[in-house]
Amino acid sequence: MQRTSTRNIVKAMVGNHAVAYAVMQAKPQVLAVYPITPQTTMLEKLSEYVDSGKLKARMIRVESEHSAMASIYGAALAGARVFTATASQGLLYMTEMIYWAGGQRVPIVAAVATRAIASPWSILDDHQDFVSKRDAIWIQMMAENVQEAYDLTLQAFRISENPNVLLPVMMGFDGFILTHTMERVEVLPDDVVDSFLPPREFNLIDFSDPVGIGPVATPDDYIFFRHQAQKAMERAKAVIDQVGREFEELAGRGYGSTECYLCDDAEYLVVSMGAWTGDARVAVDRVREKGIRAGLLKIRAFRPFPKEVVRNVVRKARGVMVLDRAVSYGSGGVLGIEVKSASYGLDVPIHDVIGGLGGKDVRPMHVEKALEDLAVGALEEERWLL
Amino acid sequence: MIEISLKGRGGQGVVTAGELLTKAVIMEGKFAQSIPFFGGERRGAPVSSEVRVSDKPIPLHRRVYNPDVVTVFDTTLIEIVNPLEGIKEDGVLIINSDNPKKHWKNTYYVNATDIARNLGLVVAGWSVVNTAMLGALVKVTGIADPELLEKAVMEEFPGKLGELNAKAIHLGSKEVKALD
Repeated sequence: MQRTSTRNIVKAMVGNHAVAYAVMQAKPQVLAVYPITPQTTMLEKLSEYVDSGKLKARMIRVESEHSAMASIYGAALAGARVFTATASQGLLYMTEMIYWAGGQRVPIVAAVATRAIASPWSILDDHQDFVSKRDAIWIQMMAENVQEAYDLTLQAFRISENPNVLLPVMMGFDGFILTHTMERVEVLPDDVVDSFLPPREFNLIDFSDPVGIGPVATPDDYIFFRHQAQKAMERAKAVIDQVGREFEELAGRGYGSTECYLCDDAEYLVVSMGAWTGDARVAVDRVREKGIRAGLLKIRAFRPFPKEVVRNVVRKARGVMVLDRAVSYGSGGVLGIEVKSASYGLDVPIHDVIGGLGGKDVRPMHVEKALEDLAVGALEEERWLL
Repeated sequence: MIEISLKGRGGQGVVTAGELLTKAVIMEGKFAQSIPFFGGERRGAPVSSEVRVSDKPIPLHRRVYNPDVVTVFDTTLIEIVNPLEGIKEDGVLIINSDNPKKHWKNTYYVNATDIARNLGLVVAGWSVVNTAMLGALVKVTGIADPELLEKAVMEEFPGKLGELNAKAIHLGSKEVKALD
């Protein structure tokens, strides 16, 4: 149920500017961002905020994404609140340092303006870049619209810095479809954000008690650290939902790792992540009018994957279709793999519906047709929306 | 929900037009969304922007296929990109021209190029016709409050430039005509 807080301020913003606005309000001390389409206008807006003094932060001008992550990784270890943003090839180039930050469990927030990966070259949206970081020990959340991109950016800092979590957070939002689309956004007043997100209280550098960071680990130590990381991911599930509830108190907009639409009596279920979720919801409404009991499960947290919730929703369905904007070639849709794994042993068929790659538009009618086919047993195990 | 397609050329202010309209609608307390389409945009190349306007939250992020309103900033595009493709049966075409052909049954026209030139709204030789076209669009469709549109323009372009663009909105609204 959506309640509107009287303290919300209504604005019209494109996704990149909404995220930049949230970052300004979150008051990071250090930013390091290298421009890449479709993230660049976010960097430009952040630079304006730093230049005008609205955001008192050090903006490190780096020569690459690898250096961007290296810079904020170091700054975060020293106690700073930090932010970066990238996409596609930039995220790939950043990858080595992404694993360093994840392995050290450093609080960082990184926005990913999702975009297809070459080759062939494309500047348009899909989720291949985002999901390729699923094993990097990062929490990964994805927004459905510009409002969620703003809200999740603020929540990401809280989740990342939680002492029971201490993991970097990646906030994904669809390139162009959200980054460059202007929508109605309710922003919180600065003082409300300050109360939700007080300054980060942490200072690793204690010269009276020096420590080494990220040294070589013996096999015993290495697997110990990795086990700790897995346990932190498990703890993060409750923290994501708790931070979502706290945010709802302030903003009137509910959050958490998943969102269900008409799931309770759903025989046929769509699972979706990102901007096309709204289009899929329209498709669910349309097939309901035709007498098919459909529902939709939105995945907001991709890591840690909310497998208990997914399993409980899938259990009640007669058939499931997973919309996927990314593919593990030789296996199947990447989100589909997760849903199938979470549903192991349940007697419910789970189908992959793959589309939207490289910016290919997907419309409610595509989802509607797939749902109708699912209901009569005519949906293939793997359907491509070509 | 009303869907609008804005078609023009890089440099005419197509994307800005979509955003200004969206801002004006949101100021009114309604919902709107502007979706620019990016290909290899540069000055002179065909550019499009799509706008949705609704009293309720807009769940969609797909592109616009069946617009209620098509606004063409440059008539030469009609031969090149077929901006009328998918237009609804009762849809409206608004075109920047002083003497258009009857491309569609519900055609409106305004000489936005002259309005922009007379106000000095010219950048690198290109008449920036977006605000005059918005004035015509709002007059014909009533989808936004012209005063809020002028307010959105003044916020986006404070000072003299905003005033000239507000004047262009006013003139576009005044001069748009239905084609018999």
